[in-house]
Amino acid sequence: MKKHLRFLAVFPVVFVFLLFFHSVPASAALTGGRYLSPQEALQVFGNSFECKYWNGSNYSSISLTYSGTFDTSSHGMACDNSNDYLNSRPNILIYSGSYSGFNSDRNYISVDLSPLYSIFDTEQLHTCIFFDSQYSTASGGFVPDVYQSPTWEWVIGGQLMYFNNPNAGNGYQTEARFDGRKWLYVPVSYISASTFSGYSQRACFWGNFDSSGTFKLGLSCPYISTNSTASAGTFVTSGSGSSGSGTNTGTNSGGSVDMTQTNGLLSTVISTISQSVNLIISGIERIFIPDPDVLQDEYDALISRFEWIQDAKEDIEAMFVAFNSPPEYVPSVDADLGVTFYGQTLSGSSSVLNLSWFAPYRSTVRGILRAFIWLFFLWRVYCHLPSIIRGGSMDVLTLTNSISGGD
Amino acid sequence: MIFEALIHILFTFIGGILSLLPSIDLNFDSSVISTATQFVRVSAYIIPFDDVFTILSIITTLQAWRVLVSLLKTIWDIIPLL
Repeated sequence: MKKHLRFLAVFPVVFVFLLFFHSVPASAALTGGRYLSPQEALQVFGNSFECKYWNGSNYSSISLTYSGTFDTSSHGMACDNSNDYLNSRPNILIYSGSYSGFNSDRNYISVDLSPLYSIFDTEQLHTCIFFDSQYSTASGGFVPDVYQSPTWEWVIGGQLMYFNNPNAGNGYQTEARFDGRKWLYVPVSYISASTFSGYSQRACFWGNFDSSGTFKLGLSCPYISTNSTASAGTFVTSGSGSSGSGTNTGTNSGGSVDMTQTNGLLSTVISTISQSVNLIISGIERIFIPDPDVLQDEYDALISRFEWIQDAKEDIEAMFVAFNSPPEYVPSVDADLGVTFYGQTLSGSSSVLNLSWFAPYRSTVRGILRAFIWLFFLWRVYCHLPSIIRGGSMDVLTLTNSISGGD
Repeated sequence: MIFEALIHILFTFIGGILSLLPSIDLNFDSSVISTATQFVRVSAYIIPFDDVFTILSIITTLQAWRVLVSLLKTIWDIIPLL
């Protein structure tokens, strides 16, 4: 009992230690300029968003809580941690747009160039921008230097989303390298409204190029807008930031924005634990769950040695068809009487066996045969029934001999 | 990762064994057995082979039942203290 009490006394100390341990490495583990995955960069908790960003030395986060009816078609949030282009300055931009999202043909993405609110950034528009004819008016932004100008498409939430940047090669470089692979930062905007009242809701995407130059979206979107009715609302944030203080200066033609930076310990711990668990689970899955494609390849290589089974199956089916020929078809056996004599071939055949005489009696005879066959079979089953029930040998006589010791 | 490696080893082993088997090709010129086929058709015209095939399938099922019961009895005998 005393041991248990001792454990209970030690437990809070351990808990506090673990709490500290998890809170400090939460940022320390993320140091080193690691690029955030979409799940890490932008997470949604009900009506709140947590957006992580790189502040030059570690990762911080900001929480945006939307009170009211969140309208994905008119409000949104951009999360950008592109520290490469901000000289290690944090960069979180909230965009509004005269037109943000896909065009009517959905063959490009357009993002307005005036950020409604930038917490730390005075160098605006340091994020990926995809746009159409307004490209020439863009300043300070960049379009991705598209690698071999691929068309990117993927399905999110049942919606086919794709774009093909017509300005391939004309923009600024956006590629980054991580783990020796080429990565491209692709914030995605989807919005159905085309009025000024909208923000573009965006999510951070990472993907990379395969050897053929095709862009592969590596991770799914943590949150993407859906078509919903536009209505005004309010963003409310709370907390304090670790790398600066935010001032709420943004206005929204569809509603008011009230933002404050936050970096709460509890949310950090929770998110860190959640990320750790997810990493462990994904690691275990990668270790123990085999890749279906690999299994399929192995299976195909093995089954290719048994292709003759399909041929045998088709032959047997053809044989069944021959057995079940229609009654009006009267088979016969013909003998080939063709001969070759002095280079001349004379063809001919003769019917050796013709069952046309049997046709009138066929149904009757077959009925009698069917009755005898079934009777014989059922009688045999009846005689062997004890052996069948106990799973004995097919031959009762053999079993009897073995029991009696006979030969 | 681990299971992929194990499965790869297993499949490689099975594939190595199967590679020893000669290639099987069931394709042949059916014209050489045309006379035999005619006799089969004649016999099928008289004998109700559809019933025969049904009986054969029942016999196969009964044999599978015997195998199952025998397997269970064998396992039962193997287990000690029973």
